[in-house]
Amino acid sequence: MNLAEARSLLAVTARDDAKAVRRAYLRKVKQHKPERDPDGFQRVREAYEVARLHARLPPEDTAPEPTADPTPAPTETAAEGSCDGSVREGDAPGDEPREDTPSDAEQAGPEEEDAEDAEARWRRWDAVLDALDQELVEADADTRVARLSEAFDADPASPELADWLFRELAALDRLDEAEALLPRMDPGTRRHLREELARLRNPTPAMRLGRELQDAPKDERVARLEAALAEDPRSDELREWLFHELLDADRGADAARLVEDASAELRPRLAQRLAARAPGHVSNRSLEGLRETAPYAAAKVLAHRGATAEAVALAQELIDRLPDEPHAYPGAALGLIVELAWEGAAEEAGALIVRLDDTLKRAGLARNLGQHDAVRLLFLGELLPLWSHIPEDADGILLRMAAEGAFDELTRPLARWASLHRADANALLALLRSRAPTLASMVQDTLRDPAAMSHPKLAGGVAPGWWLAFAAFALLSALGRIGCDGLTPSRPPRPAAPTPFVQPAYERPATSRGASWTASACGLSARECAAAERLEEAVAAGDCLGARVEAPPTQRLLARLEAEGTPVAARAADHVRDMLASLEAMCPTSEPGGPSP
Amino acid sequence: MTRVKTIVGIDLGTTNSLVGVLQAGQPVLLPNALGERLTPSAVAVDDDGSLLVGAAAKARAATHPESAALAFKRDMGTDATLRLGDREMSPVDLSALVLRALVKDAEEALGHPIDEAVITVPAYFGDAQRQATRDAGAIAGLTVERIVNEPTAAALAYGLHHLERELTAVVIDLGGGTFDVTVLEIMEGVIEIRASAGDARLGGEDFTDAILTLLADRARESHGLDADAPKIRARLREAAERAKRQLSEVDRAELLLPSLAGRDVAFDLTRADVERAWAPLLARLRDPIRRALRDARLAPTDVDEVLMVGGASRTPCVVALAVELFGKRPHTELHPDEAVAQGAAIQAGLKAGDEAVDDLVVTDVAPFTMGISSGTKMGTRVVSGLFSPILERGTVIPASRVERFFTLEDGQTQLQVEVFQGEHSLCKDNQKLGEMLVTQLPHRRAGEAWVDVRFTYDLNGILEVEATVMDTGRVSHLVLERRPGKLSATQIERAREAMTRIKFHPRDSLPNRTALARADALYVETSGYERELLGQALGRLRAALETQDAALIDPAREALNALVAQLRSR
Repeated sequence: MNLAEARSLLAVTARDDAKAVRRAYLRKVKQHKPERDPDGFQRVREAYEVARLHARLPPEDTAPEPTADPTPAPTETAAEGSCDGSVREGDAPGDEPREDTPSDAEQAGPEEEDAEDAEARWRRWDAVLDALDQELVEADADTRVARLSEAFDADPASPELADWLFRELAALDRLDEAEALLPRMDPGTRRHLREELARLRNPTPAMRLGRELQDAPKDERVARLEAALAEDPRSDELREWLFHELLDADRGADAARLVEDASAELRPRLAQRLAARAPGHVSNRSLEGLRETAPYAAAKVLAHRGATAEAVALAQELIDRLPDEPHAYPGAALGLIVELAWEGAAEEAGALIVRLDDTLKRAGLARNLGQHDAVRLLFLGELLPLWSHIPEDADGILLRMAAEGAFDELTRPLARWASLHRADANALLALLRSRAPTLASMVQDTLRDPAAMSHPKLAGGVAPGWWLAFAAFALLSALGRIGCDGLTPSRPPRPAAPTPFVQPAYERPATSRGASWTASACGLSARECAAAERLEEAVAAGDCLGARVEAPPTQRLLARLEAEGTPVAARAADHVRDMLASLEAMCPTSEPGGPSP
Repeated sequence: MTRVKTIVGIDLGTTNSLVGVLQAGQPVLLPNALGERLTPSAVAVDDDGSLLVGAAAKARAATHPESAALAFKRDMGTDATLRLGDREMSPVDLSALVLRALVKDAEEALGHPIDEAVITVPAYFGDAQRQATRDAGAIAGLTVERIVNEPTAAALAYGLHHLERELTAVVIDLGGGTFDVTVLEIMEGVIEIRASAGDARLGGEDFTDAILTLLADRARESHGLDADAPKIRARLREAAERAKRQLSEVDRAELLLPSLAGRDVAFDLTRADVERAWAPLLARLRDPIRRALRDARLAPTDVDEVLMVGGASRTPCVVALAVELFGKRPHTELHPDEAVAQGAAIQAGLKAGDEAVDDLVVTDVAPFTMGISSGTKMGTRVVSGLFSPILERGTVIPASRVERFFTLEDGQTQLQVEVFQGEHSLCKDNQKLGEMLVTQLPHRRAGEAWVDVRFTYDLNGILEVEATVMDTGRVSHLVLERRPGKLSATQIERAREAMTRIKFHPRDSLPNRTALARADALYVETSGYERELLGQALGRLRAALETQDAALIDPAREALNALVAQLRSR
């Protein structure tokens, strides 16, 4: 139901405030009692929900406090940086579960009241933004501006909405109109956007260059940037931009050189990115810096260099330190272990896993880690090399596990996977039988009866030692790319900036899934470009198997793009070709799939 | 002669049950065979194997605990069974027996048959429990089309007289076994339930249990008694109940239990002792109240009226808690034991289309969030076990909401839809309601095939799940997996038939049986001269019953009842 219909059903106008809308709703409900007329009542209720969203606030409400904390982000938000496979120390996995509120109810009265009002307001604004998201996915810029202006007129208090509208206008270079909006915003947003506006009105050379190079081909961009940086070597903005361009162009050595001359402020950030994307090019000097600022990245670099012993020692140190760090993110340690495994230190990695498990258990952190299902599953694909290092008494360990749902998640995906990869399933069984007979019989049961959800032998147990379960899962996922449950709620992402390489100033605020590859950049619809997006993410994450699966559809996409002939498509085709090339460089095996059992 | 269509409203409580109708726009509660409006929710087996329901059964529970069943409402929706005599009975069977007794008495009082009823349940009762309640009604031979939430019923009982006002009220319903908090608003003559919270396992029985534990410990320590022996425990429980009631009025209670395992035992309890034992229970009352206020986005000071319903809400420290939280004394207009039944009667009238309540409108909300299990992708990794709400708590009902879910895997042709109820973000912390497998999805890349899952939640609080596969329009309906205690139609029919064949005590002899049981219970408690008196009066009634002569039986029964009343008041 749209706003007009809703208002008409309730007989209210745009001038009626929330209280008046409510009265109208209640009066209408009497004509459509839920007992007598459930369908009619539902329509009236829907009309009320829609009309209420767009009603003016009643006059006695004061402007919202911009300092109130918004509700936590939905769990689908991707962690920044996680898509690259690097893990920033101290970062939470990026999803804060929407916790149940009763436990928060211990606060004193008055503050609670304020927080509640703010929460309700944010929820309302979120609903408006979500609705707009859905509506404007395929809309062009002018329509977007028009709709957003309408929404903004109805309720200028929502900072996110104001920001979005502002950026849309800025992208269209309608800076005066953007400026005109400022007085109607709340003070916090106004201040922040005023600064933005000042920057836009007086663009730095880097920004000006950015706008100019928006549609330029990659080589030209790099060349121009190099020239610009040569003229102004102190510009951090240019340096960082060029750095990313070079990394994307796989010119790690050149990128590394940029890091060396970078300012003290910029260097650690660039060094960390370099360690993640091209660890071979990290200089000794940067490495020293990384030991201080990002020890996990440092360990990864050491491993890459072959300094296995040193890397392992550093990893041990970091693991031992975990209990003392109150905001420790054990997932970072796990990520490092995985990197070590990939760099050839699989046996040591196996030992480190046991050490990490012990440390967490002793510190009582195991429970915490268990709750981060995201962490658990995050690195599954990379645990493959560890499989061969499962200790002899794996069966005993598995029996010991309390599981806490770990095995529930194994059995169902197993069934699904097995039905798709019958031959591999038998191979897996053979392997499992030699290493972990319990797991093997569990797998067997599941293959026979997909409805089986638990194995009788696993009832009870001592401590959750799910590491090995995940090693098993890793094998399975590597062989067949199993998903869990197989469901995901999905909203179309908000339209992002016109191209992926424009200065952040022109980017809309990132919300869900910071995708770097967008439909408009690709030149086709979002769905068709999705495979390329996934390939890109997989390549960036070093996930050969994941990338390989996406390769065939990406090749088809490439053919399509080449056939299109438009300049946008041609650029996109270049990009795709580059991605496929990096995939070949990274994962030189000629056949898909993991190691044979 | 056309039959009058009467729908009755039944409050099927943990401790007591009531039945009422709407007459001339007012709820009227109907008396049972003993002339009382409250019928204990108790079932017992008599010496000759016949079944007793109500006060007689409750009295028998004190002396023969192993052949009596109490508080079985708490086990509704589970697989629990109880052995009574040579019968194995489920909570549904037991509830059906109580319902049957209530309805028979109501039919007597009204003078015509009843075949439909509205039954109340705690707002927090889940799907399984609601279905079980309906099943109990069906076995008792009743059509139960409407289940209504207890606090909503109480709100109706209250709101009926205040429709012209505009106010916000909180109903605190602390019954025998469950605790419900409901926030409601009356505006423009509409009663709007704004939020609902509660604890399905917290009630007056828990308060009694706390005292029982206290007494049991003392019995063990000071008197060397085996407090776990059923007969002793039953006596202690009965004493605990007495204590609970007495300490609501006075500060100190002396409990005498003569001939308890061969000796006379006395306990001395103060109100302070008891309130200490109740401290954790009182703490558990706060959270649902806070949550309901928060959901309704109200501060305690915004509340105009506090209504306390349910027997246990009479407890002074519970009232004190309400006063502390809201800064005002609870409203006393509502009868704590009868309000819910009154509301049920009003709802029955609404359903019957009674003109007297034509103007009355009430809207209710879903008391908890419902959703399904889902996964999501972070980069190329998959995270699962996440709870995806489809219908949030506080949604006005009836409501229908749909969400779209995409596949995570290429070529995925099946989707497991697992339905959960709860507020936590991970499914494993919520309560599973059921599942269904949606098959034959078209072969597509991950994220390109989808299923629309629709939740429809009706006024009775029954959830229907529908999954539609993309583009095909194919719909799968969820048949909620067999929950423990849920019966199929044939099972219900069989049970209903079995009930008609159960040997009950003839109704007209119920007053006699009850008198005997009550006297018997007291007999056990007393000693000395009082006991002798009682013994004689009991003997006289038993002899009179042998003659089957009403002229002899009735006076003997009256005399016995009078004596019992007199002895108890000492």
